Amino acid sequence: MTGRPVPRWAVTVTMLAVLVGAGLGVNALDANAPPNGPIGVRMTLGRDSVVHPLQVNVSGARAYETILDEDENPLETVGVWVLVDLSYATTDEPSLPGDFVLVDARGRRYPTTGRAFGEWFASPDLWHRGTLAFEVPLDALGDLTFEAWPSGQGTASDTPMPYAVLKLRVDPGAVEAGPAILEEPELLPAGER
Amino acid sequence: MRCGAATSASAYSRRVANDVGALLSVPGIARWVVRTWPRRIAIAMVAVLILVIAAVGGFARVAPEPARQLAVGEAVDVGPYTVTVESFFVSDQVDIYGIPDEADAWVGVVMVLETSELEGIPTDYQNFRLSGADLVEERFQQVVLLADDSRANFLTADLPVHVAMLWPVRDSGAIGDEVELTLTETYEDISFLFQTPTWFAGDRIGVIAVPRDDEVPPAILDEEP
Repeated sequence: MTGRPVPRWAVTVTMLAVLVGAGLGVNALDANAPPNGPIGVRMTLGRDSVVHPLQVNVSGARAYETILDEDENPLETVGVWVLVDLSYATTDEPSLPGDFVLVDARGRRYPTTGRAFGEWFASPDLWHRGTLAFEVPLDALGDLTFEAWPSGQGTASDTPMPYAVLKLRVDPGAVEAGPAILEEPELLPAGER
Repeated sequence: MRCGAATSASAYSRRVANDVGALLSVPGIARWVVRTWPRRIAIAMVAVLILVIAAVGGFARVAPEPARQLAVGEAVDVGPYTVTVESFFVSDQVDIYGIPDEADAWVGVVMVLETSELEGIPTDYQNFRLSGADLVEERFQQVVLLADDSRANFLTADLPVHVAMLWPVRDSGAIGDEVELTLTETYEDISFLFQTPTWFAGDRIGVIAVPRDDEVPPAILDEEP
């Protein structure tokens, strides 16, 4: 060692700075990390995401006061209907997808509605496009998270199951009166989503 | 005890046996108890306590508390959700599958259910007990949405639902103008066996005298006669 000894206070301040910096760094990494660790998937609107064995492509979400079920009966609600337009396929075998869930900013979770036609069968590399309906309270609109579970939900801490998340925004002011019609799922030509 | 010259082992054990024998007799115990003043005071205090409790009637039998009467239309918090009961109907036309063979009709209790559980929660048979009809099953069989006959067993956060809770009954003609619905609260705790959160039955909250209203919303009735 040469030169003057480093003053004690400088050492303390440096150590504190390193600690705080490390904490902030880990926070940032955690916020940007895929959900459920390296096996989770963060989706982007309009882009294919693979969360094995499901491949999903979400094109958007819209909100309505009333929708029509497959028999053209209007489905009334005290909340609103959020319709998510998406297409999906599997990677290997035909199967029903797991759960699709809409989560609001408060953490309230809403599954696809049981009142109308829901998920459709997925086929390997054959993309079918359709619409999923979620019934949510009006104050749930705003920043939403759409989750796609290939085989049923699990608590992230218990079962490291892969699932995909997508950040969606549906403006509370953008609720249309409707009634919106839930389109039947259609098989898409190769390359289309 | 005579302690004199060196005693033998058998003499010692004979002495101990005599002491224990003397103690284990009734007069022996009585003497031991009242030997010293602190013991006498303690005994006296216990005796006075028992006498006083008996004197004020503390040992009398207590009659069971009568059930609290809840009102129709009152929102009752049973734990996982709130329940607002409205009326009941008797019908054999309800459009759901799975009526048991012994049953000849459904009793449907019309109510509004709302939960604030973030992840949603299923309806729990532990909260509801129906009396006043000959039930085939103690537990309700199904919960249907009055608006469109879909299953409403699973409640989601902050979305109140107007439903009919259905019990299969036999001898439906004998049901009068009123049935009684007993509401019991449930609470969440970690199950000892499975170490997962489970809802356990707690105290009975009260009883509702549910009025009859046989005007069933057409959405849940079978279209064909």
